[in-house]
Amino acid sequence: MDWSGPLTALLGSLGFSLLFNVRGWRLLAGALGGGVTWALYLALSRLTGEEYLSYGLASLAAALYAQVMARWMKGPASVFLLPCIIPLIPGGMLYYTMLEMVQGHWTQAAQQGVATLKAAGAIAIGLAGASSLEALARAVIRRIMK
Amino acid sequence: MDAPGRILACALDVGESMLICGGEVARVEDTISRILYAYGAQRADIFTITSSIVATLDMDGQVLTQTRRIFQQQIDFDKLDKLNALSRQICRDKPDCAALRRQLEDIARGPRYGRGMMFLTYALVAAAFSLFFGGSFADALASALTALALKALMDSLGPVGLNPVLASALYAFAGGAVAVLALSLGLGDSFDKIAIGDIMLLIPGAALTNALRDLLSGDTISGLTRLVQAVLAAIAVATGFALARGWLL
Repeated sequence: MDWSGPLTALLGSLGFSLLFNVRGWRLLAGALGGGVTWALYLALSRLTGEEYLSYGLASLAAALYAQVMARWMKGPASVFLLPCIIPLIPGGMLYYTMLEMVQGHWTQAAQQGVATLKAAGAIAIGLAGASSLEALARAVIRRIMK
Repeated sequence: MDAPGRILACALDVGESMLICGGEVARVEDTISRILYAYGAQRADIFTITSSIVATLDMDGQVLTQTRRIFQQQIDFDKLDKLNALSRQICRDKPDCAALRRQLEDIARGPRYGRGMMFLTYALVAAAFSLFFGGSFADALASALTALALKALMDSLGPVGLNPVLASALYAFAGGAVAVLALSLGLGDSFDKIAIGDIMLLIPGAALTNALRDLLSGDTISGLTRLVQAVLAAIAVATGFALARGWLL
């Protein structure tokens, strides 16, 4: 496996954590999360061949990781979630969409645009899935505790 | 114990600070209502969107409403973290408002990374994402240098108060121009791979993620407001770079 993707994702997530004024050990948690999220996306897309499913599952995993870290390190989940999600955000696709549009290649622009929307949608569904799983886990724990 | 009006104002101070440093709408509403109930409210109704907080408190036979207008966000997760801890502590210890204000001021003065560190971070992010999207080491270097120029431009134009969408497009176009200059001097192999590192810096990824989360947790108005802002800014950034590529390259 080529590790340059996860490694650069890790550095990018570290950089964004610094921009968001994250401090101390939390920097490490965010950076590692970003690298692992991207590695997971690569592994899933190779395994399943489904690009958007992989986006969704990787963002689900990132959100679950953020919730666990939030419990463990006693902080808001956003602090861990945003750095993890950064490598998934389809910035490249968005740029190519705009590039095709400015050059007047409308068909390619539409194709790229739809791909960008699908990726963003898949990430959103992954995040929603994670918060539903959290609610479910809470309900189950409450039932057991009773 | 403070009067209900003072307590409501203090709870709103905490919520307002949280919203400004990047807390989600649901968290802000939850925090304010927890604080109010901790101080003995019979009923508390809070409605928050990204640009405003409205809270009504029913306590000791008085019904009061106060609002806050939020103008802009400045993401600061260190502050958000501390505010979160503070709100737990408030619910536990119920300090008086004067003590709470002092703690809020301490948090507001909290540490931020210095200017030099921010320049380094800009270079790091741009280089990392240039490589991430398949650029060569020369592309990454050009992207990092472009990011330094961008940061200098943003610092000097930031206080002017330009229209935010136009400013994004302008920064992106300037970044594209620097990338073209680097290429013409023989540094870097591909305009697109240089540009993408800087695009990731300028695109409001955090706002986009928060927008999606707000939308999916039922905070539709906040979600839409943030989404429209984020998408407009993203389009402005991508267009700025694409125009620089089309006209200058």
